[in-house]
Amino acid sequence: MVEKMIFTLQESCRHIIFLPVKSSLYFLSLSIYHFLLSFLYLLYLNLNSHYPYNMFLFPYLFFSLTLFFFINIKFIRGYLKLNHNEIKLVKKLKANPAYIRKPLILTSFTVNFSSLLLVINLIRYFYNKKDFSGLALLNLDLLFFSLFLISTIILTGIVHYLSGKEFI
Amino acid sequence: MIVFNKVCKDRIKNFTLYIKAGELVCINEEDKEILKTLFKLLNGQEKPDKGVIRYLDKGVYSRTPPRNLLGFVHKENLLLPDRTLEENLAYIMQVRDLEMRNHQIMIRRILDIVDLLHCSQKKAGELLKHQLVRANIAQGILNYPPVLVLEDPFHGLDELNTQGVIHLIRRLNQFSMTIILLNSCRKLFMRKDVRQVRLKEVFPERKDYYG
Repeated sequence: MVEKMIFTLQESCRHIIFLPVKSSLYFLSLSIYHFLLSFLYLLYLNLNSHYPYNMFLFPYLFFSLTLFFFINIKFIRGYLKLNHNEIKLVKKLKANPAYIRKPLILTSFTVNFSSLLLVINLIRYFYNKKDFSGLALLNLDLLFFSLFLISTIILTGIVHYLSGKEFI
Repeated sequence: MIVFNKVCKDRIKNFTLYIKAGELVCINEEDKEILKTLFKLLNGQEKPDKGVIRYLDKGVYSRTPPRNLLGFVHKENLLLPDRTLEENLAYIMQVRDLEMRNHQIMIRRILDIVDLLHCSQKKAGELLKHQLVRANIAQGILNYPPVLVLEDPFHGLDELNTQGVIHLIRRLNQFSMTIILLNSCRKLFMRKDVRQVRLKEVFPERKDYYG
């Protein structure tokens, strides 16, 4: 059990450390995405009293989810392409494909978590720094938790779907 | 141990063969496609159109290859280019769900058997052709399977290295490992005690292949 966990950690470290450009691009695009999402959420909270509910919320949800899917699919597909030798080996040996999936999930999970943490803390810092009178009270912990939960579920689904296609 | 009973698949017609435990069988066929089909049949990747292949494992015959009974040595190089030989074998052990306790000692022992201990820190690109064949054999015997199937291991090797690999295979056979050697090399010099089989020479009428 411990060996398997160490193996998953080693492989995900290999993804993050040995592919610095890809990983940092992934991190950057996810950070921008989280920033835009949180910014829109702030805007929504403060404009809610003046504008109709549906006009703003649904396009906002649609575009944010599309963007999130796009960023993750692009980078996970890139990682899978870089891992084509490993995939070929696993297919040839009829071995367990979970050993490709787990490090990928862990990598995307770590990058996602760290970018979200960074953005939320930046927003917390700037939002609380100036005392804006009349602005809505912001529950950043709830925002962080809900975004993290949704993104984890989506990421696991994307990795399973894309790697499943590779193993057929 | 393994019984081919009137197996038909593509160009293999009525192939009947009984392989006993501890035997070294060399199946000679110049057509590489037929050898590939035979390898896939043994691997369980393909099913025969007619006839059956039965595997005896722990006193029970089964039609699907038992998980730990057979080890396979592929013709192609399986090693990942960005890792050393030792890392490659550790990776293969992981993905095949083998026991990883003391895996470094186990890998060194295997590398010692195939005479590659001095290359353990070399990457796949730095190995010579016969060393790649030995490395492929090493990945096949990681879990010490009772039966080892080799797909055309002498392809592209010179005579000296071919003899070296034959010597290694004979040594593995002495560890009571059953060896099935699928060979396409015409000028292969094997000793007389090695059972040589040609696919075309197997007659369906004869009934004495079962021992």
